[in-house]
Amino acid sequence: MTRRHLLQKQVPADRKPLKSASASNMADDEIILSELSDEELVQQMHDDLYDGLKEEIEEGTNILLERGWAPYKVLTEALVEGMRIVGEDFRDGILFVPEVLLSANAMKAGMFILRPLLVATGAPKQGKMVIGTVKGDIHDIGKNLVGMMMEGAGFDVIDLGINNAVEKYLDAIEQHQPDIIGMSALLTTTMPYMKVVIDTMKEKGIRDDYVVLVGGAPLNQEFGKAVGADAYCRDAAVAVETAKDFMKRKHNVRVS
Amino acid sequence: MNAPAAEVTEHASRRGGGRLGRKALRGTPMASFPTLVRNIPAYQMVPDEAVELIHQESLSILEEVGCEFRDDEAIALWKAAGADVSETRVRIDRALLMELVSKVPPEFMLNARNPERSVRVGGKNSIFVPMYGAPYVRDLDNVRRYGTLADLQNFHKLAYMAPALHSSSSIICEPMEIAVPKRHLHIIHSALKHSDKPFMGIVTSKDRAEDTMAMAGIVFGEDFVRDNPVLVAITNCNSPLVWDATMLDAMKVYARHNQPLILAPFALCGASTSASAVGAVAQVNAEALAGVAFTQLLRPGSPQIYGQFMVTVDMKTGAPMGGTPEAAQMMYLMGALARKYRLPWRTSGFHVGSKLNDAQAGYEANMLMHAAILAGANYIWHSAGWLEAGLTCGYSKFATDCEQLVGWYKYAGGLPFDDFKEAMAAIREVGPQGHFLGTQHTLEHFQSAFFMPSIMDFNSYEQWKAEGAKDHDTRGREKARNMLADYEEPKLDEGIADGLKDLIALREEKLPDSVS
Ligand code: B12
Repeated sequence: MTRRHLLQKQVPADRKPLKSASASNMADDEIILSELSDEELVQQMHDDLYDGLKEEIEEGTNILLERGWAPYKVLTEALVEGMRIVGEDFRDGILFVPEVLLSANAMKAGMFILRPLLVATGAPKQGKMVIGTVKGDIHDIGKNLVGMMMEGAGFDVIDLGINNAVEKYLDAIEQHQPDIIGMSALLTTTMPYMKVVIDTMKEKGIRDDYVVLVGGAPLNQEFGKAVGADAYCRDAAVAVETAKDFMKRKHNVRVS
Repeated sequence: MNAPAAEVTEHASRRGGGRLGRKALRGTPMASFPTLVRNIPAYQMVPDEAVELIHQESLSILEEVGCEFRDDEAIALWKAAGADVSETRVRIDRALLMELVSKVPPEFMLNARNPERSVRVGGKNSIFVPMYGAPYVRDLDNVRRYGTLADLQNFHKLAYMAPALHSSSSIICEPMEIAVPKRHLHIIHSALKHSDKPFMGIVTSKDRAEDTMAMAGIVFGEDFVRDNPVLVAITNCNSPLVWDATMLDAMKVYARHNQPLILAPFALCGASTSASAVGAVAQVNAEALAGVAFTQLLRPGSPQIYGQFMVTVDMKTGAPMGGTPEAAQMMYLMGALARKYRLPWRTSGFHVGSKLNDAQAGYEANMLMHAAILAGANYIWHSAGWLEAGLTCGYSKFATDCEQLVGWYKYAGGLPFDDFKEAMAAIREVGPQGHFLGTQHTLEHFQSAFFMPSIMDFNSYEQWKAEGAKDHDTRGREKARNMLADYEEPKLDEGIADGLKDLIALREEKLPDSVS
């Protein structure tokens, strides 16, 4: 085998739009989204989210808005509901990580269109999360997954990256006014730092204003409790469920 | 087997034989195998051209994309060496890179505090090293819980007793009850106290690396540890292409003491590399070479270990896997590259993803160790205890791994021909029909002719049932329990023991009780 021979086997690098192998292999008949009824379109958008088709989601979102749908209705019925299905199949091992990230990306594109309209119409917020890996720790694969899944569920996510001292979290809290603080740690030597952050929040009297979620492979439920977090989440799917729960409670408190 | 004979510790009968004599001979052999000298050819899975292609692509990555070195001193060193530096990005010309890499000795002696346990690493010489880093243990009652100092001490004792383990590692499991700022002192102390084999250094901060060297200095002599390898430390590149400040700090401390580092990523193929086995190897090769080259700026000629090994990522969750066919295939590529560079090579052996010491663990372990051995690895790490992709160290897994290592030691030692003539004589002696169980040749060779495990069971069904019908995992736990009951601490000079205690007390006074 020669060098050239080996190189020839490489895939040509012409950039196709990102599509998962399974989705692009399916025979897709041309569908004109604008010709579908509302109900059919929403169904189609669930499918398109599932297949991670960003442009189609943008188009569908715009069509529903043009037809007079309230932005909040587009968000919940077309996007969030579609991602709920994605989440379910991810949990059940039918969808794989790269496919889910594609779906989350499509969701984000829809969110991008809706965000200003949601604010303008005073729709209930889906929620905002600040997330970061704690000081001394550079592990971020898990944290990134959680961030992307949260975005996929409609949350605004501010990612502080790795190696975050307590000041970084505090600054981000002040600047972004999130609902949720997420901390990640993969080292037994850095996970105690979560307590430093939570204790500082207590000192400043702001601990109870936020939901604190923690995660990372060496953590567990008891540890989460011991450092004073609201919840420990074992994976990204649980993180999304937990965050949604807390947001629901928050809205209920506000209403009552 | 080419292992040293067990020391006879007990002579109760007049002739030194009889039941007690035999029992002593077969009892707890506090023997330790010398360095494994691989006496089998290394297997190369791809043609030379493919190895060369990966090599060239790695060099191109370092020239065109470069690698991050996130530390001022490291950047200054690279500048002085003539690399193309912009901020923290270092682009390394292939001639400079290969010149630095070629300074690393192909083999080195790793000194143990008991000189009989010193080993060689590199070339045909290989060693087995137990696992590192588990927050959890699966304990003697089969319960999964956080590790403690008592667990760590137990694992150091087992490492000392296992004949085929050549090192005590260091953080086999985390002693979670000890405050983080002080923890490293107790980890190193336990390794040095409970075993007399080589050990591993701490890398999570510069101070902790310095404390490790100070403790090694007390045991081996300050002068000795300035130049002679007594430990190995692992520094990971943060794939893709980042060497961060913490790791660079640790590298400075150890390399300047001539202590070998394992320059490695623990890349998750598909997450921190492209989802292509060959593409991933080209990337991590670039990362490791950049790390190796950097150590030669710190101390030219210092021994170093090319640290490649990789696991694939489970696309259902993003979690690391263990004994997969791709992980094994990648080892063959890495081994071929290591030989090309004449660098001692570390990979891992029994790093499974299974939660239990079960059939999955066995399949995974075998897939990996077979490749590690055939690909010609020198520092075969994570060879005892590892479960759950490194989150748990199991007592049973530790014991059964150690037993398997005895088998692999023999396998890699090659096929001896030294008794071929006698074997041929035996067939003439027995002739047609008959059997060999009572011949002189059999009597002389039966003990060493075949692997004789005690945890694996090959008894009759009835015998196995009468002994409680225990599965392999249960027998492994029992073995660990029995070994610990038989443990005797190796001698350590009193002055040294006190010296270590004093140093720990001194450092503990200065160090805080919690992280900040
Ligand atoms: C990949 C990896 C690395 C990579 C990291 C790459 C990266 N960009 O992240 C590299 C090679 C750089 C690395 C470096 C080190 N590592 Co490391 N690493 C791992 C490994 C193999 C996998 C981690 C991972 O990415 N898992 C996959 C993701 C998807 O899972 P996850 O992180 O658990 O995240 C999920 C959940 O936990 C949860 N979650 C995570 N974060 C959050 C946050 C929130 C808010 C929520 C709600 C949920 C949540 O959701 C995620 C998605 O489902 C683990 C072993 C393991 N089995 O976990 C060791 C491990 C964590 N590393 C370890 C060590 C020792 C190190 C080093 C010190 C090694 C060294 N000497 O160089 C350095 C430390 C560097 C530093 N300063 O932090 C040890 C920790 C030991 C200990 N007792 O503390 C481990 C356990 C391996 C081992 N046994 O040695 N490592």
